[in-house]
Amino acid sequence: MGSHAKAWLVEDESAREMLDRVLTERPFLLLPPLHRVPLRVGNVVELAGPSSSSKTHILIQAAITCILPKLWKGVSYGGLGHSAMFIDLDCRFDVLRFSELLNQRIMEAANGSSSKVGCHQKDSEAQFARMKPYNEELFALCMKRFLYIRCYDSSEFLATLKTLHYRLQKEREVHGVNVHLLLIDSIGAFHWVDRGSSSFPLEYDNRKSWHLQNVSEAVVQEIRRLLLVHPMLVMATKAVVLGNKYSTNELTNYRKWSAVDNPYSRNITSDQQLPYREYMPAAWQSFVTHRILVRATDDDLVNGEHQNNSIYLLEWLLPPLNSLDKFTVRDTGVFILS
Amino acid sequence: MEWNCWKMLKGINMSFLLEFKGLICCSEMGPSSSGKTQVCLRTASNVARNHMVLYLDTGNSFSPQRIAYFLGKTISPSSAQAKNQFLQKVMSNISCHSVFDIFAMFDVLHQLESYLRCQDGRGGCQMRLLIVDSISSLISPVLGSSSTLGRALMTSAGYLLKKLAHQHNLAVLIINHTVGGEGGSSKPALGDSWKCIPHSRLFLSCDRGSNTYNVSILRHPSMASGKAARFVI
Repeated sequence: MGSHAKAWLVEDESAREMLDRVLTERPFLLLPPLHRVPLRVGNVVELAGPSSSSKTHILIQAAITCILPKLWKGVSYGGLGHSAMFIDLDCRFDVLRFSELLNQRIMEAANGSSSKVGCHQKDSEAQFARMKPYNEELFALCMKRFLYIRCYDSSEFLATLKTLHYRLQKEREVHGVNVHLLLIDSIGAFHWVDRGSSSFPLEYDNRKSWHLQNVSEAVVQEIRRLLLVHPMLVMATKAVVLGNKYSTNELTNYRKWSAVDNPYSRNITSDQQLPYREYMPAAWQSFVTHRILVRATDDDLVNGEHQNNSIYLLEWLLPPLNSLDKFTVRDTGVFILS
Repeated sequence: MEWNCWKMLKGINMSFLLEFKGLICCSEMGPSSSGKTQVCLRTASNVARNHMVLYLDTGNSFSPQRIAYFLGKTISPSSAQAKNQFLQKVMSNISCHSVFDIFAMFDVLHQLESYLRCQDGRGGCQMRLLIVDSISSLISPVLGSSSTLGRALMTSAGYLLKKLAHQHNLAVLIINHTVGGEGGSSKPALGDSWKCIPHSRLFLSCDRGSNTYNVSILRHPSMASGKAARFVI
């Protein structure tokens, strides 16, 4: 009896060993342009911004970083080598743009490594020609790790979440890699439809009525259950309407009006008031652990003959950092300016 | 209409677009008489040569004579009978429905959905283009600031169009209007909730006193916004 009791007191691993294990299995992610705050699995990041402020591009950038391998045939791609799951509620995902960005990242990494070696012109061409079948193989490998689901209403979204566990298990068995990233494009996509349908009562009393709050609570509950079994980083975009102080009139860009006052010269104080009206129910708001605001500015970055890329501003609301990051979107993805 | 300038905006040329993408939901907006209906008619006449087109007309602006004029300009001179036959074939590919409220539009779209579900898989002439001229006149009457039902209807209409575009390989072209904003500038009608629904948005305008029209991109999944082109009718 005494030996059994003593066996209980023997430790499995020391704290240092546990920390080493956790840091290798669940690394910190520093994804540009969200590089200010390291993100880990279990975090829920919400990207809020008005329409066409490159939120989806940030998600795509994160997905590409996740699905690229760290090292492949001697070339370092700097990715995580895991799968990414993209749930498209906005139904506006452009797969051609995604594949373009992925190709550009692969070629950039491949060219970067070959130029480091310092080969001559002929050699580099031959090397590039040799790398072409590698690129296609790598491209196919990465695309297999990108999982995509599209939902047209809340009931489809809930059904997807409830069956996602089995799907992810199957993917893990087939590919041998875990899903590390769950991307939801526009969590508030069905907000108005759900609000409108709450005025129609169901016939039977034993089922929960289809209220906006109930739907949101169910979504949060399902994602929480999923995170217990498949630890992932959750990133969701949300379309918001900013107040007048921040709105850019996109038509003035076309008419080349010069902005009289610069709405972005406000002092970033420590006020906790959000610059937009929050419409998501409290269940979702308390689930979110990190909050970011993205918006487009009226400035353009002149980049070459015809390329005019808009500059976007990124601000961390939770945790509140007193800084504004500027970035722009190019062919290779998100590029940080300052 | 000079369509060479369209090549600058790759992806806008509709027949080129349909080969590659096949499922764009594109929203055009502009003030009155900025050529929106003309662009729709021209697009319909181009696409109807080989595919079927559905035109949902809310303001009786569909004009078969104009389509015949566009087609007549492009076919080579041949016998009158051959011309007539060609015109008949192309015109029979375009079907125009008049809808005057949003529930009639839902009706037509549900019928279209069941029709396309039967058609899928069969060969022959497929429907490739759906034009809604204009959606703002259907949605603005139900959109009030206090009631949520209007915005729910608008979002459901948008999602139904996106579902049709994706599941049946349609290109959807939607016309929207502009309303006055603050400071005298114009902004697109239907508000910010509508901005999140189309894939790409274009802004059309015309110069006073001339036949030149301008089009610029406000939003596109793979092109920078702000690119512009000019065309004449």
